[in-house]
Amino acid sequence: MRLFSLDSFKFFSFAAILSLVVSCSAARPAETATSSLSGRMSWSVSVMRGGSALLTGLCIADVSDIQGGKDMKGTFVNEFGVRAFDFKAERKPSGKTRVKILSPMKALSNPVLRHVLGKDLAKVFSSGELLECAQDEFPYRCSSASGMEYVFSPSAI
Amino acid sequence: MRISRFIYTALVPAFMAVAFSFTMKGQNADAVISRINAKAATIKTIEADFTQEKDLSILNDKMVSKGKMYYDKGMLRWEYTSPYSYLFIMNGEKVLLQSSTSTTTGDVASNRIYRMIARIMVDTITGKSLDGGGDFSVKMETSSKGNVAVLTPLKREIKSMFKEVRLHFDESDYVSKIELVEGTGDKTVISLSGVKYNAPVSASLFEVK
Repeated sequence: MRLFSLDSFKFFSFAAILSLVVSCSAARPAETATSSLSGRMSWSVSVMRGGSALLTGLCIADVSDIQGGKDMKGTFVNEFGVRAFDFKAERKPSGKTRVKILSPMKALSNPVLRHVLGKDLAKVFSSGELLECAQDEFPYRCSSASGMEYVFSPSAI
Repeated sequence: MRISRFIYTALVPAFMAVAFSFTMKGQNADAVISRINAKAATIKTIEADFTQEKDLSILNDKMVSKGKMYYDKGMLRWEYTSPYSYLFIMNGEKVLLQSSTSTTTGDVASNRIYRMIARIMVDTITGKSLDGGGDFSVKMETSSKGNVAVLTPLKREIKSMFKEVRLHFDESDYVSKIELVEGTGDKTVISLSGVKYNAPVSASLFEVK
């Protein structure tokens, strides 16, 4: 099974998270997260290209307030419960967000891939909009330079 | 005397539980597998509710999903209804994956992975995975609660996701529970309930448009 064969991962989702290896820019200007947003949050996640969804899955995370910043830990799984990876996102004193990819499925276990995936997810998680969308009805969209769009839609899981 | 009674009443049942929970070998295992295979061969249709519990160890929690499944002569419909909507249909020719935001279809014939996954899902639900189809090696365990087939994946694609699949059989040799064990030890447990075997199932449930 080729690592980048999307067909192979359609059942298991999130191999298309691989496409997060390119830089990801928010679709809207970033807004500051409200300090009241914490606790268990969850989203349905779609990876789109050309308006069509390539893959879907779920992101479930615990968000905690740490000295005015937000820390997150959670997991990406597909609807069948197959885990792509766990993650921890920490807000550093410098204000930057660092994401550690934990227990990835085999296809995502390449160290370079994990590093790049962590860096791109840091951009997603550093935006307060992702947390705000968990409370509201609108999805959070993040477009990458490769033409992929990542859509996090609030979902009660 | 009081101590002796304690030892008898507490330790003997514990000993029995250990003594009667063991791995079957040789002819015993073969006989149980043959019996289960024979029962699986009689299954033409299944309709069941299912509950799926997925360990989320990083969150010290579980994700619980519920849904309904139908099986009819190699066709499978697996639908999550709570807390999210997700539908999987495999009807022998086409595969459908439908979430609340998107729909994907594909041809079974042209996609080896679809065929393999569909075969494994159907074989584990019916118990046919014990007949040595080349997807798993099989070991039988028995305890006071019933027989458990421990399936170790042989194919790389499945090995990459699970280190073990455990099929629990009820007293009638039907699959009652499926445990999918990841390499980290996290489990996904799928329990079947309200199961109806060989009842009529509408063909429209497997349509992929």
